[in-house]
Amino acid sequence: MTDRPTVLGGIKVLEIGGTGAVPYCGRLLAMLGADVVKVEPPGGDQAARRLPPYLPGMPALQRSAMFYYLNAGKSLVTADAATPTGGQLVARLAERSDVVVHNRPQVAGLELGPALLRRHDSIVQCAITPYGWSGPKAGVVSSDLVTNAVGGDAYLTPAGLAHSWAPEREPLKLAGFAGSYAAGLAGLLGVLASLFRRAGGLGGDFIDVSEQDVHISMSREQIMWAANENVLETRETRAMPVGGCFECADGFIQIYVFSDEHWKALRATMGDPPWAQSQDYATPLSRAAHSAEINAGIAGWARGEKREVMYRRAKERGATLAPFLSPAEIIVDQHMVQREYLTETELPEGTRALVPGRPFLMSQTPATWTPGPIAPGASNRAVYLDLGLADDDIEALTIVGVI
Amino acid sequence: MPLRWCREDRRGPAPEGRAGAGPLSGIRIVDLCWVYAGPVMTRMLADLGAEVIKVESSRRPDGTRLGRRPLDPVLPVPEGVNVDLECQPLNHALNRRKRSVAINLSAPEGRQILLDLVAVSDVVTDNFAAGTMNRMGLGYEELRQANPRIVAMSMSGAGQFGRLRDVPAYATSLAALSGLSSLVGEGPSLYGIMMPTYGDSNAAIRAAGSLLVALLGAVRDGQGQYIDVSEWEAGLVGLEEAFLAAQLTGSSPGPRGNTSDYACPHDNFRCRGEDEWIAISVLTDAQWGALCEVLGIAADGVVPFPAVTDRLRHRAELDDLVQSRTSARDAAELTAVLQAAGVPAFPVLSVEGQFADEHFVDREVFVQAEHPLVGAEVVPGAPFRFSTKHDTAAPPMSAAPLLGEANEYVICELLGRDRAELTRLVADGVLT
Repeated sequence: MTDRPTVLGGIKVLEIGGTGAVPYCGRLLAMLGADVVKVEPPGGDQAARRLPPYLPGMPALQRSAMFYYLNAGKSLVTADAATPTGGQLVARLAERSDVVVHNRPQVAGLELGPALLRRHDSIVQCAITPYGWSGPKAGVVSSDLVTNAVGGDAYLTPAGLAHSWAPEREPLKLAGFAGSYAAGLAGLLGVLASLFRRAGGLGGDFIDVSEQDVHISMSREQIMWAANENVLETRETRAMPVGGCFECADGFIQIYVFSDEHWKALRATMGDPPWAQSQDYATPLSRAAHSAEINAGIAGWARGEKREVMYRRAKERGATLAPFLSPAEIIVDQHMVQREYLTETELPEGTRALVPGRPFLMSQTPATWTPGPIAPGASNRAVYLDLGLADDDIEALTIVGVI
Repeated sequence: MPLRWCREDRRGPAPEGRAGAGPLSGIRIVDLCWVYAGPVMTRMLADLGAEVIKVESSRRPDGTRLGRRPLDPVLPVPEGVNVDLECQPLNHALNRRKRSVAINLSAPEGRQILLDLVAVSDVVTDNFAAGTMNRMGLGYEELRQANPRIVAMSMSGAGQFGRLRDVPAYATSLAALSGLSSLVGEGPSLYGIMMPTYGDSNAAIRAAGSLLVALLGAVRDGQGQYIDVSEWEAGLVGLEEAFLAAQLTGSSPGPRGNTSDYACPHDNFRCRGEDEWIAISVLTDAQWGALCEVLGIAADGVVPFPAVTDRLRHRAELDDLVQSRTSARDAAELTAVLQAAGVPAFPVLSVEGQFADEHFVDREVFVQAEHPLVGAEVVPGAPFRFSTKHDTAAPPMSAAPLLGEANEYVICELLGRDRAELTRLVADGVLT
């Protein structure tokens, strides 16, 4: 790292709404040096502030570790955007911002979207919504489970061997919030590209990001095969003939076999048992024809072995075999610590935890996270004074519940 | 609904006046990426208006140019064009809106052409195994000597350093190593595997973001830099909750099917028909009331388990109850009713379902490109839409390039050499 300044130093961002994609986008902008003001309803965003897991020793609306991870380090203000006065405050915050990121909330007296760009040419505005700004389903509610269903991930999960263990079971969603966060990243991409263009002398922009579009368009070879070859993949058919997920003595491993080199390396890893030496298994086509018996042989070998032993042997022999690691195992992995991907961070009340740190590893451009207070409206006074309100105004607005 | 809808039903270019130059117009990217994750990244940068010149070679073709039976050309095949390398749909999807120059980088003259191209470009990208660019004599130092302002990015399985940097970068391996695989599925012994390319696209979008950060940095002070992207680390995006829980609760989360800690019901439920399912997630008590109403669960107007804490405690019972009401319903019809009632729901869509959905057709999630050999074909659209006000909307769609299609553009226009030189380079096997 050098002393080069953060790339977004001096950029003012206003963030409104959402529990996943929008706050994640805001967090990344803050890490890149932007000054992010986040607007919540009076009393704080009840849904976002209740997301588990919980920090010990914190009051109810400040104990969500996810809320802390996503939002500590932003200036948190409250405003009842549905009221004329609250809406006007949000509008004034928007007007003095370089970037506005939102999930299309109702703001009294402020029309977001293309209308805001028409009135304020220099603002870079990004709306991240489940179905996008336009189209028959614009405005429809969604969730990460639904995004997985729409995006095509669920239709093909679990696939291959894992599907064959319980073919009647329901399609599965991927873990965590990957659905929303990919959209948050797409929003970041749009905002940065727009800021780049603006630095070249052009005005602002309106960027429409749909969580569903991101997932569909980021995928997938299935689209091309279905469209051009009339081949529709399913959970049953989406499998490599040989390899997949295997249970072993202390968990699971993933094996990938495609080429003859892969197969030779896997044979060596298994100690080249007699069954694997069959000439029937010598080519990709012949292995595909005998895939069930080959997979049964691999499964029999894996069952008695431990992940780390298999992984080490596979690495020496060039086989593509990876252990399933749990979050707890990854946290203690030296690779992640060496790369500073997971960084130890002080959380409130003295708790320390390794949290995903920088979004990218760049030789010259620092990305840092400096957590701050997360009480609802923690920055009301500072931000609203800066907006030109007097202490008396702020107190009055607080009493009537606008902020 | 025919799957080949694009060819039959949606002929013609996108509506007039929609295309722009893109916010990255004027940026030139020398793209050594191949296979999947890298090309997805540079495809997004092409969607943003950057000129992406894919550097490849018939001597060691991009894996996506091989492997499946090629599509049959419907247009005349020019002399010297190898149909086997040119008609793979996946290659077309990943490389649309790009150009292609065929350079033999193992020839010293080929390497020099690449460095000359770097000198007139802004960005160099690769997704080779860690250390490969250095071994080819194309490390950051060499690139920087060619162009002191260059932004160089290498994307690899586990990054350029760290104890596991040589891990094989197959998506399923990375999903296992990132913790994602251990969290998909249900119960102590049933793990799922996800779609193999999942990690690739997440890595791609993060990598594209880091390039934009570097370009913004260069705007500020005129300096380039080197970026090290690990696909493994991208697999951790969205798993923060699990990583925090592993540390704050003292036990590592395991696979949890489709369940949620704070929403119930929250699952994919079977509907009428073969492999038809609907995703329903009830995030609030009001949505639960609405779901009960739609499914006829609220007997005599009394909603069972009105509080989410009770619903979470009776999850299995409620899942069975909901399942018993959805199994005879049509997934699309039930979706419409539930969405109108404010309940998050959608059929579990196959690609076929995505093609057919009017919403995604309206939003041009799939678009059409005119390929020089196979004609009109469907390719994925851009994952974002820019306003048309400042010419930042996506540039016109163009199909994936034929191998070496931009040889003349690169050698003659960009590097200023004459046509005789171009002919010689081809004859000498430098451009191939």
